[in-house]
Amino acid sequence: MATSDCPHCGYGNPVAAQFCVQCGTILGGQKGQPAPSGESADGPDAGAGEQGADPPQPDEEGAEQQPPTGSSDTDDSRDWPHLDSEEDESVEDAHGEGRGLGAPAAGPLLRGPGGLLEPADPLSYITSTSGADDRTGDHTAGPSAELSADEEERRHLRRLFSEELPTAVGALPDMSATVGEPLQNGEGLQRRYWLELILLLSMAGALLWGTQSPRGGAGPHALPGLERAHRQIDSLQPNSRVLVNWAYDPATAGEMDFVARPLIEHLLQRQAKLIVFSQLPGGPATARRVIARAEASLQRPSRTQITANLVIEGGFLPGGGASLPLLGAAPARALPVDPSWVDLRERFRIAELGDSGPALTLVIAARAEDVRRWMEQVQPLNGGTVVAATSAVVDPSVRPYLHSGQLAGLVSGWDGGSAYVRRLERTRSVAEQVRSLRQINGLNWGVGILIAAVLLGNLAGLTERRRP
Amino acid sequence: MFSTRSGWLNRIVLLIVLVNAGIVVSSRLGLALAPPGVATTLYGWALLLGGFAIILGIANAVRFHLVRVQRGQREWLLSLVLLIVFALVLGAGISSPEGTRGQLSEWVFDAVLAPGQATLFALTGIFLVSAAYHFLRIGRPGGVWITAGALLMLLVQTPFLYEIVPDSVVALVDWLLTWPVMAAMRGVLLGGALAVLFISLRLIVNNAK
Repeated sequence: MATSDCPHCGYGNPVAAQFCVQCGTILGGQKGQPAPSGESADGPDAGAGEQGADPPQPDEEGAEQQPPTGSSDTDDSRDWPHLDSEEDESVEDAHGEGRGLGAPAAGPLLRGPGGLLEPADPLSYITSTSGADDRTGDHTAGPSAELSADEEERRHLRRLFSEELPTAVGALPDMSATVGEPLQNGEGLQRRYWLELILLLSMAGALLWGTQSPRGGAGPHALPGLERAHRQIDSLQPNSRVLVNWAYDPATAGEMDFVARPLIEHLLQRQAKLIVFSQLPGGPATARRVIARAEASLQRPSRTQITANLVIEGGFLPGGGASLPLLGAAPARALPVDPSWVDLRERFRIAELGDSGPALTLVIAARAEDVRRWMEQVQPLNGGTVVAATSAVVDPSVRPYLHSGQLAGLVSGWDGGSAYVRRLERTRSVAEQVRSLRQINGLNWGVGILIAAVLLGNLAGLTERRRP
Repeated sequence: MFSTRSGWLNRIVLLIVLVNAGIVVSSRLGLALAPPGVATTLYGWALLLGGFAIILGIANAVRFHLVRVQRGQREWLLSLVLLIVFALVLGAGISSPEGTRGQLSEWVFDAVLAPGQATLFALTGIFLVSAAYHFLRIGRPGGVWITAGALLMLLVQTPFLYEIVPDSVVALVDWLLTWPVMAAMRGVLLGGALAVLFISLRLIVNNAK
């Protein structure tokens, strides 16, 4: 008896089977008997004609959007078994086309319990989307349409991400890149220059307004969240419990240490009890070093004493965003249990965090996602006060939380850290000053090189344009 | 349309997902559909699953590289180095009574991990300069706006230009950050949240395309 392998589990089923006997995967493409090699369902002539045809060129209509999933190449089905779809089967049946064994097509992500574990490949959705449009055309999925899946996927990605980016507002579309295709922007509002005009007028107004406003307003130099963060920490009572989410590791420590350290110093000055945890494997060790330096700069007797009295190392918390809500609902259950400091847990009674919550939560993050996760997953559960210390690039992303009041304070970037150090009103040691100066010099050089690159690039562009 | 067996299993999985989602959502909304402890227990399970996921990930990586070394596949030597380093660090962590705070573990962190991570991250600076050279050009579509915005931000946020930039330019950047950028950020936040919500629903009802 002729059998065909299931594209999902590989079990040999009868050719006419609708479902796999082993795993239940739909094998509906075999309703129509598979066409012999070289023959499509439209007839031997059609198949032969297609076979003899040249492979479709990218510029040819139809060939451009033909998805790889329409191919009858059975090897492809081995690579993309989870793309099988009953809908595609019905569409192909409507066209009167039988498809080859295990012919793949994009479809539902959930396909039996095994489907849950299969990767959701974005490419399958890209190709399925374009393929859906393409089905309206009358192309056959015969051997003539053979383009390797890799080739087709690459072309889809190029079109999506590089070659045909949406035309910028007000810019004329590049006609050469879309030969034979209708203009997507048409003659609508996108072709007008009204948006640029409004933006220019607003910027001119901002310039005029800026010259008349007093110095030290709410500009980028003012760091509006810094004063609030300082006030929050300054108002802490001694022995207040502060939860510290350490969301950066050595990769971004160059900038983040500058921001984190003054806040840690301030917390230690206020005799707050820090419960430090991290969701990054390198986070706890990074935290230990910064806390030790903060302690040293405060000229405490020894790090051991500080650790024993003021700092609880919560360690590494796995699970990403999914495990964060437990910190809001039951912090004592979420923080890793280390037998070596069970007595410390008793002493500081972490369990009370579940009832009263921390007096303050400090999120020290190099990425906006970490602050956002905390504000959305944890803060609504415990309603606690949250202060964020972030890199400069995160600042615009988290300012909406600051403006809405969800975030009680925000310190960002090297300038935020420097301003916070000044607020602490303590004299910095020579070593600290040297380190700070070195860091600022590095930043100067980096930005200087970046500006030079931009200017040189534009100069090169102008030079190239003038050449015949 | 499902076959009998996979169809039922699929529906059971779907039911479990929906019940869990219902419990978590009701606890977030303050509805008393389930005791509060149930949601907390589910959160705890998520934490446990996270831990197991890490162990599975490590086991999978080790297996993958072991197979590569066994078969002598391309760049198997790098896989071997990875396995040796993995075994050394794991041994150092387990053998030391202080765990990851042992002397060897601390040395690995200070001498290998920290500088390595910092170096890799610093390499992004090279890409940044290259991208700035090639793409921040006024001749490209929309390039005037992107280049002007980038230069303005660099001018205002750079230490050595910090003091010499006129106040009006600072005010202009402030206006840009406060109004257009903030509005766009809020739009992205809201749009992203809605997109996640609807994509999740579509996945749950098995209608993802």
